[in-house]
Amino acid sequence: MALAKASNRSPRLTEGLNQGDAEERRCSKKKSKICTDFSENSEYADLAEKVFQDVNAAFERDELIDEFDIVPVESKANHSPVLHVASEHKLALEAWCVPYLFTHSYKSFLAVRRKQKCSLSSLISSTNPSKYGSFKASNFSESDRINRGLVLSRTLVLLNPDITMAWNFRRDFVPIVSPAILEAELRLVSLVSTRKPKCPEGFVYRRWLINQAFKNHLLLPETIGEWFPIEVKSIEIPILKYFSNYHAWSYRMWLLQKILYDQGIPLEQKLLVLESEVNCTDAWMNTQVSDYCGHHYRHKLLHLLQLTVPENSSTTHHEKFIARMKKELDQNAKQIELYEGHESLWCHRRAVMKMLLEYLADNGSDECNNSHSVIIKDLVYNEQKFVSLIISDDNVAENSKERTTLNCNHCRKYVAWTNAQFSKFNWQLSTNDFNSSQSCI
Amino acid sequence: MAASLSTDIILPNPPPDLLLPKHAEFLSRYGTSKEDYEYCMTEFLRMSGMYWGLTALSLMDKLDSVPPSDVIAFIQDCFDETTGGFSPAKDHDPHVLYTLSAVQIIAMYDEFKAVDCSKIVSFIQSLQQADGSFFGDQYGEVDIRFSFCAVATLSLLKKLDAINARKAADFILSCQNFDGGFGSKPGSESHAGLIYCAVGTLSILKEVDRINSDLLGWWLCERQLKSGGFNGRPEKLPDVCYSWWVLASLTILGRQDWIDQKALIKFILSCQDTSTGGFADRPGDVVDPFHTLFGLGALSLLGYQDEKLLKLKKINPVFCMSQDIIDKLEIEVQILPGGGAS
Repeated sequence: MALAKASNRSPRLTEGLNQGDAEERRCSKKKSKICTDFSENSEYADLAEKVFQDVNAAFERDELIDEFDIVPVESKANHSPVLHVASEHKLALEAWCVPYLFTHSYKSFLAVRRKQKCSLSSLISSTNPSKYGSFKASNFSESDRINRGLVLSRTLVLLNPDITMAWNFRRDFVPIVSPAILEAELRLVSLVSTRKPKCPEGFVYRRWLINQAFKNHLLLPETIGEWFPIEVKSIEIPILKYFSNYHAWSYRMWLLQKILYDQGIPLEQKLLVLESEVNCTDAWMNTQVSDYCGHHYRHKLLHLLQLTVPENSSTTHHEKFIARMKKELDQNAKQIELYEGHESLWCHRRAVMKMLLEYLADNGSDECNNSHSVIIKDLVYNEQKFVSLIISDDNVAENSKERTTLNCNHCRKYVAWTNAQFSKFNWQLSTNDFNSSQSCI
Repeated sequence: MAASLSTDIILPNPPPDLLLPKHAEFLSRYGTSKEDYEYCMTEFLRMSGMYWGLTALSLMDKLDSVPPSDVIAFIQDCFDETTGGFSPAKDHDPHVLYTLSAVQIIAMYDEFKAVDCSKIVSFIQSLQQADGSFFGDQYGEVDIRFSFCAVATLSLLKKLDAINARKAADFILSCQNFDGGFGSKPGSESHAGLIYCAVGTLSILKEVDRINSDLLGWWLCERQLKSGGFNGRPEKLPDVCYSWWVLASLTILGRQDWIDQKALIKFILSCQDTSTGGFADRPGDVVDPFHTLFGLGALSLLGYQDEKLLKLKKINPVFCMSQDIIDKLEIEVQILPGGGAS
C-alpha cells in the first residue's frame, strides 16, 4: 500500500489566476501518452484551463442552467468539449475532458486554499458575513483569489460532489444575505443532483443554506406555507432519479420537522405545509410500491399531523385522525393485493397499525375508552380477514407462483411481528384460514 | 447475475475459497499504480481508505507489508493543530469522520505520541451539542455517525469522561424508529449502517440495555435475503458491507445466531474477485478496500476458517479493529449475552 507515500507527492499547482505558473512551464513534457499529471505537464494545464473558462462562460451567459451531465463523446479537434444549450439551460461535458478538467481544478483549488489559509485565517473563523464585504473592498487581490476559489469549487462539486472542502469554501465565502444569493446556491445544489442524485454532501449543504436563510431572516414565517412546496419540488428530481434516495427523503423530513418545531412560525402556516405534504404523498403513494423511503416519510408525516392540532378543534381532529389512519390501512390493503410481494407495503402496514393502536390506547377519556376498545376489536377482526385472504392465495395461484408466494411470506412475517408487538392490545392473528381462525379472536 | 423478483441476486455455485494471500496482495498494491486523476478523485476520503486497508491487512496479520513510518507521517500531515481534528488528506478540512479513522490507525500502531492527543479530545468536546448530538465539524451538520465517531475516538484515547455520555446516549435513542432501528437523525428512516453506529455507541457507553433488542434484532434479521446476503433497508439489493454492519450489530445484541450464518458465508465468499483479490459489494462488481474490510470483518466475526486453515484474526464488533489491539488498550465494550431463541 503506497497510500501514505503517494500523499507526499504534494501536487505542484497551477495556482493564481491564469494558466500554469512559470515553474510549471519549465517542467518536462511527455507528449507521447495521455497524462493528467499537471505537475509534469503544463500543456494539459493550458488545455484544462481553457475548458474551465468555457464552463465559467456558460454559467455567466446562463445562470438558470438546470441540468448537467457528462456525455461519452470522442475528442474532436478545434472544438470545445463544453456543450451548452442556453435556450434549454442544459450543460454537458464531453467525457474525455473530465480527467483534465477535474485534476486541474482540484490542484488549482488546493493552491488557492493554501494561500487563503495563511492570509485569511481570521476571516475563516468569522461567522459575520458582512465582514466579507469590507474585506473585499479593502483588498483586491485576495478577493480575486476568493472569486477564483468559488468558480473552482463550482466545477469541483459538479464533477465530484463528495469533496467536502469545496462546499466548505462556499460556506466560508458565500454569505447567504439575500434571497437572490440563497436561490443561486440552492440552484447549484439542484444542478449537482441532476447528475449525482444521491450525493449526501449536496443535501448537507442544502441544510446549511436553509439554516443560514432562517438565521438571516430570508424566509418569512408568514409565507412558509407558500415557500415549502417550492423547496420540496426541487428535491423531487433526486427522489425520482434515484430509487429509495435516503438523503433526499431524510432532508425532506428534516425540513418538515424544522418548520413544525419552529415556535416563530404561525400554526396556520404549519397546517398549510402539512396539508401540502399530505396531498403530495397521497399521489406518491399511489404510484410507488417498493420505495420504502417514501413510506417511512408518510408514516412520520401522519404522526406529525396527529401532533399538530388546529385551534379549538381537538374533538374533530381526533376523529379525523382515526378516520385518516383507517383510510391509510384500506389503501395499503388494496395495494398489497394489487402489487404482490412488496416488503415496503407490509412494513408500512406495521408502522401505521402500531401508530393507530398506540394512539387509541393513549388518547381516550373514560367514556371513549369503551369506544376505542370496540375500534381495536374491529381492527383485529378485519385484520384477520385480510391476512386470511392473502394467505389463501398461496394455495390457488400455482402458476403465478413467485410473487404470490413472496406476498404470503411477507404476510406470515407480518402476522408474527404484530402478534409479538401488539400482545397488550389482545391482538392475536392466525395464519390458518379465516373460519378456523375466528375462534382465536 | 440475474435478479429475481424479490430484489435479490443469484449466487455462482459453488462459491470460491477464501483467498487471503490475494487479498493481502490487492491491498498492499492498492494506490500504487493510480492515475493522477483517480488519486485526486478519491483523496477526499483517503484517511478512511487507509484505515480500511490497514485494518484488513492487520486481520490477515500482514500489517508489516506497509512501512509504518509512511503511515505515521501521513497521519501527522493530516492533523490540524488549530482545531485538533484530522482531515482526510493534507490541505483538506478536519472532520470527525477522519478523526476516528486517524485515531484507529494511531491505536493500531500504538503511536499515541505522534500528535498531541489532548487537542483531539478538545476537538471532540467542542462538537457536542446541548441535546447530546455531535457536529461533524465547525459547519454544524448533525448525524448519528458523528456520535459514533466522537464516542469511539474518545474511548480509544481513554477520555470518555470529556463529554456528557448520558446525553450522547439520549440523542442516539431519539433517532430510534417504531421498528427498533435507527436513522441518521431524529425522524430519519432505519438504516443498517446507522444502526451499527447507534448500537456501537451504546455499547461503548454501556447503555445497550436501553434498546429493545428483540425488536431491533427482528428488523436486522429481516435484512437477510435468500442469497444469504444482507441489504441495508427494505427492498434494496444485498451488499457485502451490510454483512458487517448487520452482523456486528447482532453480535453486540447477543443475537448472532438468529441468522443463517452458512448462507451469509457463502454470499461473502462469492463477492471475492478471484483474479485480482479483494471483495466487491456483489459478485462480479469492482472490488475496493472498503468492501474488502467488511467482507473479511464479517467472516472473522463468524469465526470462519477454511480447509487450508487460513485464519483471520479475531475482530472487535464495535471498533472494527483487530481484537488484540482493543485488549491491549484494555477497552471493554458491552456485548449482550447470546443464546436467545429466534
